[in-house]
Amino acid sequence: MKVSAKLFIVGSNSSSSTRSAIDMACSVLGVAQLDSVIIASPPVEDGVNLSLEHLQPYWEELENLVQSKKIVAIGTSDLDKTQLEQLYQWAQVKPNSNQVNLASCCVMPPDLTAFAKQFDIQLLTHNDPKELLSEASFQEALQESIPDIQAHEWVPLWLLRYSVIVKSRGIIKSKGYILQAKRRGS
Amino acid sequence: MGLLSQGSPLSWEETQRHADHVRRHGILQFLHIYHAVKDRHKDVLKWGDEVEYMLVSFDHENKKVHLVLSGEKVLETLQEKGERTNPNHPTLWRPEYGSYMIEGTPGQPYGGTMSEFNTVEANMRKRRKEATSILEENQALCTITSFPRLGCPGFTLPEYRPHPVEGGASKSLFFPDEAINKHPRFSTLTRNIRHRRGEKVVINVPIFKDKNTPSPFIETFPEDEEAARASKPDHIYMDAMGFGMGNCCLQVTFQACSISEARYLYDQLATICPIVMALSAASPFYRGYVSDIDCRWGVISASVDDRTREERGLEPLKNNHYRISKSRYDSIDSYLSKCGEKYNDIDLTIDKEIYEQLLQEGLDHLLAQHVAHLFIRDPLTLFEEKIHLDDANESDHFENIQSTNWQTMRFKPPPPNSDIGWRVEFRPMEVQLTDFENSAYVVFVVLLTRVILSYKLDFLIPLSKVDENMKVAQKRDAVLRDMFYFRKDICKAGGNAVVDGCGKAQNSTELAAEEYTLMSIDTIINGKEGVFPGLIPILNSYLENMEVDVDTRCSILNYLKLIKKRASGELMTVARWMREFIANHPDYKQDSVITDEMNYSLILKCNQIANELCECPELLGSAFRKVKYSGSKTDSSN
Repeated sequence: MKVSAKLFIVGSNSSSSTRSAIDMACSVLGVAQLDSVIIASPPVEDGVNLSLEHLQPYWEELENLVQSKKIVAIGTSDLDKTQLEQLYQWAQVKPNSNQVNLASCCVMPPDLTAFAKQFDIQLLTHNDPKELLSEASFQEALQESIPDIQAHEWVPLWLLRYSVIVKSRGIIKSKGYILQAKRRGS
Repeated sequence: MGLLSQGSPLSWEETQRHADHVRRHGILQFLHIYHAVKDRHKDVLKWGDEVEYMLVSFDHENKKVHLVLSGEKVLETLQEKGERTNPNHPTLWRPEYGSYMIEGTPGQPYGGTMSEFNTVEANMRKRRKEATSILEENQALCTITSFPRLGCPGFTLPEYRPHPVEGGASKSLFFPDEAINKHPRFSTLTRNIRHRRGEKVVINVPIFKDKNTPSPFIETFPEDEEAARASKPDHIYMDAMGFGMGNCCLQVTFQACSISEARYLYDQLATICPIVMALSAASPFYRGYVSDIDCRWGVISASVDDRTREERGLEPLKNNHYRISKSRYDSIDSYLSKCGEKYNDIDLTIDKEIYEQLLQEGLDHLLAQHVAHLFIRDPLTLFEEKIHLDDANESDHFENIQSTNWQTMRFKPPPPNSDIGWRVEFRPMEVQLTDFENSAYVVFVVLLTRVILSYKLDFLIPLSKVDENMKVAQKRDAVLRDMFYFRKDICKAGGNAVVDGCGKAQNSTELAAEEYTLMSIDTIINGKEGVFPGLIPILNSYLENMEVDVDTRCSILNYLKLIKKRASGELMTVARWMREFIANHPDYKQDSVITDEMNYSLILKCNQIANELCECPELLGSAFRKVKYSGSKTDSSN
């Protein structure tokens, strides 16, 4: 059985999101530890390239969780070779995987492939859109399911997708999402 | 193709005398296995493919291609260099019905992890290369389902003329006994089927009526009374087991984690058989003519139909026990899982004594009737040395009956005293020209089993509808022109169902009638808004939740792209592509006749495609190909 998660940071909020997301996932799934957690690249302002500084606060938190044995292995998503190399050199706990978009799995940049091979980083695939859940669509969904809520007051902080896989049989035992939102101004 | 025992084969009369003995002990052997391993659990996924190959020889000077009757020798060399030298050799080779055929499988089964999907094609390439490397000059290994001029004068090398005499195996006007594998099992099977039936087998395939095809199309066989009686106007007539069992196919076997998972998968995949068969259609030509069917299934079915006239319902029952509605080679007759029970709507002939015995031994109704149905058949081959067996430790008599029930799915108990689990075999697919295509179909089916188990999908429809689908699936261009019964709501079981439990109880037939509808294969595979989600979109959703490395994902992406485009019509099936190749051949006279030279060009082209010496985007698309290799010795153009 392998429990994996991917964490999507939605709002521009503090890195403590990471810890609460992992704690929540462990308690929902009734496990002491997640086998693998991948962090989706945190949102950056338009026109800005994702840099190490953007990732660092989240990664440090993930490293703490590895050290406290809440997570076994941590990975990244959509980093190019330069980004991955910077993270790798700086990080205490090295990324063990980096996800690339399905669209590029047949046209992988050779430098990324070579770097990943050299440092034993698994290159995995995902098919997630750039923005998995916008504030607006979250609020819309919320309004639909709880009509008397003031949906516009609520903003999502993070979204975590988990899956429990029986590896030797290639079977998904369970999968789902956990989300945290907070009321604006609270 | 099943059990191979060495020894002295018995005649039909002798075999028949031992039929009850074989059945009685076959059941005891099955019961030993069942009691020993019925509760075995937690077996991991293992699976493997089987590809059948034809050995061909090109005569470039005379523009002819022949089937080479050297399968036994090639097999011997492959086994000697392979498995007998190294128990971990990556390939295994087995004999097949035709003396011009061999079967190849991976040396070890594949496991449950995703990266194994990326090793299938490499292993198939290894097989092709390995076998090709020991062939003689101008010979090639082809993965074609049916050889277009099988049974035409001089189709073998060395050339043999058929001797239609009673003492022979086939007594065929077209298919010489020398083209049958020399292992005695194969000719004995052939002869005993004919003797049991009381006459030669009869295969009539509708001819494709082209502009200049004579109408009615009539062949006369004045020298052979049986043929004159059996052949039908507007049909291509064939009269031997070799016309069916001498075709190649592509099979996949899975090990389930328990007997109940195996029964669940058996049922679910049974509904998929006609769909995937139509998608894999690759056999439009028979005995040198263009036919009006695209798949081999009905041809093989008729080629081994050992039922007597009484059993077929042509004469009142006198010497036989039952009317039997199908050949030994046909689609399954009963579902095995509890959920399947209410869809078991076709008449099931069973051996009542065996059924009662199995119930007394603690089997449930569904499994008992399945086995009691298989055991209405007689053993077709028996070896003198193999009559008296140790029922607790051998299973030859069980396998004798089991392995000559050639159905779309096969439910396989573990062999005695082994650590193999309960398995199911998926058997309807036609073999494709390239390792890429064969990998694509195999991976598609294996992924589908993972999705069925992960999402607890339910594809069940009444078995009579699956039978109708099987008939439709063989028609020309069925993949684009025909509609298939398919279940509308496949998630009915919901999240709380377990493998051997069922969704909501629905017993009324009125309700059942609304559960399925007619769909095109495009809708079934690719989905249609508001009608059906589509199998490939569901596979993609599964894949998103699995950790898949980029290399493997790229391969799977290309495999699913092929299936998707074959379903939508953007790419041709092998059958359609072959039809167009012949239709556009300069020698073709629009009279449904395939000459030696047309056959030569077609097979040469197939071999070039298989060895990546030329492209074929209308068949394969422009899929990204990672490995290039060339293992052909036969290309006349260089």
